[in-house]
Amino acid sequence: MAKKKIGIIGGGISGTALGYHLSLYDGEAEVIVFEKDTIGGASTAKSAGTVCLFDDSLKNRYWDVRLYGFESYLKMEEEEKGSAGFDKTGTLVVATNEEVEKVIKTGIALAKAAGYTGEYITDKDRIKEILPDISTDNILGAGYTADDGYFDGTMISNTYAKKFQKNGGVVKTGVKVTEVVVEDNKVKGLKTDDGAEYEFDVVVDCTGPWSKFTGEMVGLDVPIWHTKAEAFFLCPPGKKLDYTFPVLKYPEFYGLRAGDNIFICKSHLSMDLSNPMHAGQWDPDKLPATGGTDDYFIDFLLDQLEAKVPGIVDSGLVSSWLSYRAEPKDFWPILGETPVEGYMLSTGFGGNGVIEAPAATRDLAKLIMRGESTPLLENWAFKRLL
Amino acid sequence: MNIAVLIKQVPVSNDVTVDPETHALVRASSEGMINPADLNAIEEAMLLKEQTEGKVVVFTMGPPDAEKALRDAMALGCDESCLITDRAVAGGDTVATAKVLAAAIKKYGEFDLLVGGALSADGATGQVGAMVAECLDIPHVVEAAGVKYDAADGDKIVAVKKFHDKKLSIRCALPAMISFNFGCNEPRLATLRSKRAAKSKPLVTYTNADLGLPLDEVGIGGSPTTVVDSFSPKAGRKAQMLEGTPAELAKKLYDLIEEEKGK
Amino acid sequence: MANGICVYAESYKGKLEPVAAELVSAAKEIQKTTGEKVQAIVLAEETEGIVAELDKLGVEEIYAVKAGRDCSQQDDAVSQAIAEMLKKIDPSSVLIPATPEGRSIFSRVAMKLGCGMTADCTEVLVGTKEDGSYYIKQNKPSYGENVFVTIITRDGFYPQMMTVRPGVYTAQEEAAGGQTKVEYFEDIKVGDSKIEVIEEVVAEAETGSILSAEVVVVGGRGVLEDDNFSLLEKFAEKVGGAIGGTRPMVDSEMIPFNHQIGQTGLTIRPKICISFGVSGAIQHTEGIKDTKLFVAVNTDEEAAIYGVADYGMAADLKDVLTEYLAL
Repeated sequence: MAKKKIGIIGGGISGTALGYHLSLYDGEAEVIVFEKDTIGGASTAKSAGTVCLFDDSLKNRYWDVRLYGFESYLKMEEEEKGSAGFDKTGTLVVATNEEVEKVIKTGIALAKAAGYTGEYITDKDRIKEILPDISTDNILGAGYTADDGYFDGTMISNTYAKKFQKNGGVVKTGVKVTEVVVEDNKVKGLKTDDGAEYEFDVVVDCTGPWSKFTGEMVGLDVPIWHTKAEAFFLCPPGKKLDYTFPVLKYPEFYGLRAGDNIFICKSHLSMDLSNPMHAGQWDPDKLPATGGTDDYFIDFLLDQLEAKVPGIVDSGLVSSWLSYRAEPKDFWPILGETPVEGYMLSTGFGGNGVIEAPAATRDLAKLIMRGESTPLLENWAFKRLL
Repeated sequence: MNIAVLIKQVPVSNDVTVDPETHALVRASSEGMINPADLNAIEEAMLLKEQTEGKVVVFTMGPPDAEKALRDAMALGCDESCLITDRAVAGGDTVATAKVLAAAIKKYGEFDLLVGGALSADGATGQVGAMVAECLDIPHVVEAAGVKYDAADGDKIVAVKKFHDKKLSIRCALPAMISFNFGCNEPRLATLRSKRAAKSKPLVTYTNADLGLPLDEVGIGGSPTTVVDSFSPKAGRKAQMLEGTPAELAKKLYDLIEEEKGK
Repeated sequence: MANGICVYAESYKGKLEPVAAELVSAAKEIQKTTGEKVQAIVLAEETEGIVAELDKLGVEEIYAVKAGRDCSQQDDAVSQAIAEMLKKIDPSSVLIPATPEGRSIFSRVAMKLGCGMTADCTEVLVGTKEDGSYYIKQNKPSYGENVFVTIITRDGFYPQMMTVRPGVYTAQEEAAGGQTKVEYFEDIKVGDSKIEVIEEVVAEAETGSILSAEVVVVGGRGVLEDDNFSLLEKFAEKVGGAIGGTRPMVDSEMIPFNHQIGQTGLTIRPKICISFGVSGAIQHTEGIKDTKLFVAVNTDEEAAIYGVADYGMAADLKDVLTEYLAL
């Protein structure tokens, strides 16, 4: 049987995970990942990597997606320490209202069902033991587990790329796809900026914030908006914390430790697609590696920290960055087939790529290799947006 | 001691390429930041301010959005700021730029000390500081590693500077200009509160009309030197791979390091 | 009419600096086209030894001022004397070493003469104007060497002054000498200075802080294996470098957090950077900028670090380090 030829555009978390999952179909697929810069270097590198057991980043409805991601990375770490950049700090998810409280409690039940620990704490002194700098005024309680933490999206992408290459896959870095060849509404291959041409049966767009431009190459309007993910690295007063700062989740922002510093980022669900300060359609190529945050973020964060984590409000601002999360209007990814035959999408993860990519690309690989759909592919299909 | 700090807003990224057709510069991003060595100068100014009181005024010449760099400097503790912005002064070389900065400092008030970063991350000429000193007819020490001030010394300050294989203590009469090397101290950080406070600190804007400099002394027209072309480096950015046995590679590494150290 | 290619013969403690010979060689390249004389200016406490060294480099004219005192660092006074010298010599171009001293003195000279100065040239070429006269094309790097620009001194401004980066031109070889015209400007004095060197001690290499260190040795994940880290420490000591590291090294507590490089850590700008076992994920390479020499050692030939390093060695870091320490 002829091998299935697949081209993947984009070497971030989604592209490398897809390459890896396709390479598990022993010898059936011939796969090339094209990355215009470095593996896991763009928006993946700016991901906080918080694949936590029960935060609010991904609805409990998709618990299996979350668990598959988390456990994939734990296994990576078991195989080679550091290969997923795991920092096991635990996670504290703060309940500011009853609705959030309910979601956290559900998450804890699900985590326990999978064999992990988790507790919902209402004793405010205990919460302060875990995070001494927090204010426990105006909170109902907090969910806590010591079993998780955050991962490093860049390291994971590089590990996936290595495993994929070991299984015979090809990674081309520093190569930009300039044209996707389509005949009679069917993908034939693609061309790159080094003058090379490739024939493919399937081409998958894994370019995240670039998907709008990638889609234009096949005349497809990929309905992706960019929301701003603004982040600060804070140097705590005294330059060093004397406790393990856990991944900290509020509905408005989240934090985690980065060495002796604290990384704080505005949360995904606080974004309003109709507010031009929050969302728009921009050119990710123009994003600087650092800086780029708007002034309003200073006020936002100052107000948030004064009310919620006053112990770190006088931290020094070490650096900041701005990242674009790519997402459709309903904030769910776009996965699978498009009106162009052979052209598939694995994009629009909206900042949740590190959580969702393992399960999403596992299912997408099955669709590509076997033509079999899954509930996840159906939920996240492109056609829902047409 | 009243201190003037001269800063420059430089691109966050030096990722600049040259359009092969037009030879125009193509910047990956327009995001600006305070030149890194200038942060070291601000830190020295802050330490002196803590010791001697007095005020610290930060100056920059640039487009209107260079206000951001001034606000950032005030978030680090500078008290006031002065932005010189005018199409007439834009595009000047080091000589033309130094004249404008010197005129602005003179107009703003009396200063005991001028400080700045030794080299900018973009142009890296390292000339403007000494040129401003010349315009104001004051002594200068450039590329210093630190400064010591003892009130008992009166109108003198001591700069510390590494020169060849020596560390020099250089006593200099005030007023003076001192520029500081990148990394010579650990600059303090702004906080969210100091960032917010900086928004309401004073910012004075000067145009060339305020400074009263003749048009043939400033900007492109007042620059003795001019950029006529730009091009990409001959070699790409890809590393040249060295081959050989580990012993041969070690020797090559040794030679490369020693050669660079000798420069 | 301005004429002559004049080299500033920088000296240190009575000896000519090696860069002066490089600049003479650059001047001789210009001379091939313009036919002007190659000149040198000397200003030092004692000048005889320096003049003798210059003579052997085949300079045609030497102009000297004997300061009679050690005026190192007194650049307010020195620049005045040099400006007066240049007014008398009236060269068409002046080549100055792009060194701390060259920049410091000649920035003031340029202002005094109103002539401008181009910084840190890596190439000086001769161009011809429409009227057949010559000018110098001054090529210099910008934006951390990502771009090179050509700068010229505009018509009517003389001399054309530029600093030239040390190590770019091959030093002029010494010859018999004895052909040089030497002129002392007895009437030019180094005036009073507001600057005084009050202490001079031997400087020690900065290795405690990776921010101010000139040489930084960076370890990545590859250093975590075996006793590679102790090899790295010995190497750093040998080259007089500070140790920086990527997150795995900080996580394993081999180095303190304030020695971590990358987006969660620091941006460093050392002159020389040598990395071992660093793959070059963006968080790391963003943290190193403006190095003059960057050598990366990593077994993986495809490692991203080779996209930013100047030289690469696809070898086992343990082998290279062991051999280096045996040198």
